[in-house]
Amino acid sequence: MGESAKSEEEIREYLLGRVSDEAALEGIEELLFTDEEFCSRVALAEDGLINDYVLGRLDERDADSFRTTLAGDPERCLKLELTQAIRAKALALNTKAAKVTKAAKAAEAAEEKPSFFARLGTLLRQPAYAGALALLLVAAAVSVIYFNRTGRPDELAELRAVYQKERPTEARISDFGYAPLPQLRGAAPEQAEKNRLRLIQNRLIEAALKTPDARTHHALGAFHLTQREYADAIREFESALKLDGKSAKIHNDLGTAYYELAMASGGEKRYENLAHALEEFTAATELDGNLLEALFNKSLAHEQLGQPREAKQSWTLYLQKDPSSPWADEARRHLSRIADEQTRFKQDGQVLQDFLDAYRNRDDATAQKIHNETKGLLKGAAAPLQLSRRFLEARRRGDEAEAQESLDALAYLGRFERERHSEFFFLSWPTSTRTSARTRSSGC
Amino acid sequence: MKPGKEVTREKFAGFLEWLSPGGEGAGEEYERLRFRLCTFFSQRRCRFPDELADETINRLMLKVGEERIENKLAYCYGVAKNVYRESLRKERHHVDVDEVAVAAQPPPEPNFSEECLEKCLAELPPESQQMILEYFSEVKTAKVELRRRLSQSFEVTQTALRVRVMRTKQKLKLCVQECMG
Repeated sequence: MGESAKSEEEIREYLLGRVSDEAALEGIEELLFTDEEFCSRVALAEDGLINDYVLGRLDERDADSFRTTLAGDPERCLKLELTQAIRAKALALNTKAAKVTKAAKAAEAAEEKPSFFARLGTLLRQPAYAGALALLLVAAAVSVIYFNRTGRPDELAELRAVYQKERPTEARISDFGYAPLPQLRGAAPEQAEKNRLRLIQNRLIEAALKTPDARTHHALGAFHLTQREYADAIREFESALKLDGKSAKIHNDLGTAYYELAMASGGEKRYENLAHALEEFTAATELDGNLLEALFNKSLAHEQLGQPREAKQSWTLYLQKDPSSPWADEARRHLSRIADEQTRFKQDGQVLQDFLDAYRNRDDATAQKIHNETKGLLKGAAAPLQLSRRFLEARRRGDEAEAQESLDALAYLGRFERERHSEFFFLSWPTSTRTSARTRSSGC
Repeated sequence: MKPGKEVTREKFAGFLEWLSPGGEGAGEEYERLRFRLCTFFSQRRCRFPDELADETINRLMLKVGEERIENKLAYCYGVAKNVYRESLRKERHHVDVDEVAVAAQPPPEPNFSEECLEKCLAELPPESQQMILEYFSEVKTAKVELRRRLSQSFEVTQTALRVRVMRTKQKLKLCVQECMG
């Protein structure tokens, strides 16, 4: 039994299906069977991958590769399901524990009151102090009412009033009425408005410090969201969810924070944040299927994630529940935009379909004509590009027949180019397509 | 199936004995072998890796009584490779796409049973139960602190903690599978 020099990174790449070199693959497989320590490391690495996926710690590329491996690995699917179930249980227990702690603290505070009132009762029996004490009580009551306001009804109403004409976020914040999105986002508020906002903020912070419950954290989170302070908003919403994990509105607003953060981000972070947003919107709609804000936002998220079919379904569902508000008009505009884009894409799709029809019917002249007319295009309609995409999508779905046909069609184009134009570029395309899909078949 | 070629209880017992002479730890060895085989076939993008793993084990069971094998695991690897190549030959026949009916989606697997998970969690030793629930209760911001605290409270290194989590999950998986029948 030799000592394996494979690194954790190599094992991870193997488990994510990203080792394309046949020799390297065989080397790993041999170790997997013959080296007990290596086998243990692989098992541990797989468990670690599953845990990381469930805990949201994989980056987009790794998460994508991981998901791809699930289609052909029922054992891994089962392990994933188990881990997800344990996670859900752990989080549920967390929330329950937080509530129990809060209830215990409230009970403790209640026990002290009788002794305070008992002392007060003694004092009141002395007439000389009764009047003074009564005055003191009235003053104390006024102070309690003034300083112990949770802030939510007044401050949030004021906050909503500030944004009556233009809304601060594209995604909807719970209980905020309709206002159009400003043409120029990020414009600085006027001084009077700044002062008003500062006052609102102070009161909300005070309320959250005095009475740190789900409502005050939620309200403060909403404020941060309107000010584009997304990290602060997320922190407050997550605090609120720890105390009340079943609030659809809090889930929605947390999703809005992630959505807005995504719109302000670029690259991989954008998609990661959008995925978080979609998770939260979905959680909100599962808790309350009639929460219009969450339904609206979920449709936005699908659209931004480049999922036109899901977006279309989601917008349509939204309009069934809200057919007539100004939000509904926006929803209709989104649906119309999706339909326009699908019409544009259909043109590329039509090229592919026409090519495949000709190829299947052995109509070489037509197939070659379509290829000649589109091969110069760098993206979109070119037949080899679309065939490669079709191959990869078919492999992902497990449709081997479609995948094989795509490869055969690519090889056909390659032979055509070689025979007619002595061009070898297209002949190598099937091989590179297979490599990029990480096919393992020997001789393929 | 040819007479003498069917898998019987005796052959299975003989196979376990071959895997782990003396019987101790045979179950664990069997699970490890199955893990190796499933990983091998799934990473090779085979369509039904668990079925191919079972096929490999069946062939091993039939063979181990018939001949003397020096290096067991290398032999298992060899049989797995043969099963893999055969599976490729079956898949490689080119089919006219117009004649192929698209395969129906397999029926959805039954949902993971919450009741079974509850039962199996309750059967774990209290320390293991606490550890695994705490491990998965982390929120992102508390991750590093939580891992450090868990490692300290269970007096283990971070790697050992991961191993304990994995083993606990393996026990839970077997328990839940048994509970779900």
